[in-house]
Amino acid sequence: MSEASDRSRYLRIAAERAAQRPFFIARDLAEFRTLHGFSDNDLAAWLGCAPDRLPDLALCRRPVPHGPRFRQDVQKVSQYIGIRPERLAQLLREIDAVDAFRRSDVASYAAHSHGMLLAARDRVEDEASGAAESRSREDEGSPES
Amino acid sequence: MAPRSRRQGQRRRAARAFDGQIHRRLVDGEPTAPSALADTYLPLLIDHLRKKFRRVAEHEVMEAAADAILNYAEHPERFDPARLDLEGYLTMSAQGDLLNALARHRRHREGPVECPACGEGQLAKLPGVCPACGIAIPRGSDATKRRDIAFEDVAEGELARNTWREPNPAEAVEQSEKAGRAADLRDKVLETFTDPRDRQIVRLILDGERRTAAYSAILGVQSLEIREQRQIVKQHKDRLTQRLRRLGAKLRE
Repeated sequence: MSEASDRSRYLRIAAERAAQRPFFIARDLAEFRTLHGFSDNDLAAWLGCAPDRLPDLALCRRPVPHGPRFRQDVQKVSQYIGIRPERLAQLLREIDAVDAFRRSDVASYAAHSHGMLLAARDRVEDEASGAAESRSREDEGSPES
Repeated sequence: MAPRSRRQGQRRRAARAFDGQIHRRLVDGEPTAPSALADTYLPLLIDHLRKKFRRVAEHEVMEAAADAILNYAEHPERFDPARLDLEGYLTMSAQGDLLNALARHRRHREGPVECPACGEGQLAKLPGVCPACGIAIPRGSDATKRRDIAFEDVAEGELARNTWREPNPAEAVEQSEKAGRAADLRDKVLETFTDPRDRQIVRLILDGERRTAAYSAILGVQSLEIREQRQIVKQHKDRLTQRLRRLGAKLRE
């Protein structure tokens, strides 16, 4: 096997492993591909690069969409790989939104399922804080204060 | 062309310069640094590890190397360039996974061992306890031979041939007195076992008898299956050995 094909095989394996880690762009690429039913070729064409550049892109550190360096980092990665920066930014923002939606969905489900418990706890806490307040009012009215 | 040692020196300096540069970029959070690191180091690391771990499957080597690169890219602060060069650090990082893979591979190759006692249970390794009969099985004799160094292999010629000599008369008297004291002690010990069956079993234990059949005959269980016989014999031997130990402690006091 040639050195070039070995190298691309190694990078592909590393990119697959990196898809398990949110630190790398690999995870966003995998999510985006699933979301849109894209093949590697489709994704590469959409980003504007050759398919063999995808593992290199996957192994880049993920620019944080709400971070202060987002624009600058997207520019750097796009230049390094040779893709359209607006497409990369769009991809990262879209996956970020999907993640946020999933998180909120899980949170609202958890809140709903614990609704009764939370309500009961509120009431107990209200009663407890009410008692504490009346105690503190009594303290304020005491001659020492 | 530059002489070999000079070229090696140049290469080493270039590698050190690249290491320092990539490390700084990773620490600074440069987004393309992990990709550049993988591009340069992954093929080198995989080649190096493949030569070192020939028995490990190729995909395991590649995954371990990839994980080492990804871990370093995510946590560059864990690498101290003053202590080790980057290639050494990455090799060390991948090595742990590969040693585990090697151990897995070895266990798989050796396969489970059939219990030599009951012939039904399968032990993952020796020594171990048979899941079927519950008997502790020691390391196999072949493994023991491989582990231990035979006396003949290390003893010098004369010494190996000359390990027994006749005692002189004074020593013979001393030895016979010792034997007499041991016999008295043995009688005293046996007297403490009032149950005649227990006494017979203890006598066998003290004689160093190891055959199950000898104990089965005393216990009257010889008609049972060998597995059951072994279990019953073991229970009785364990109980009586425990009592002997306690008795020994009392006698020492």
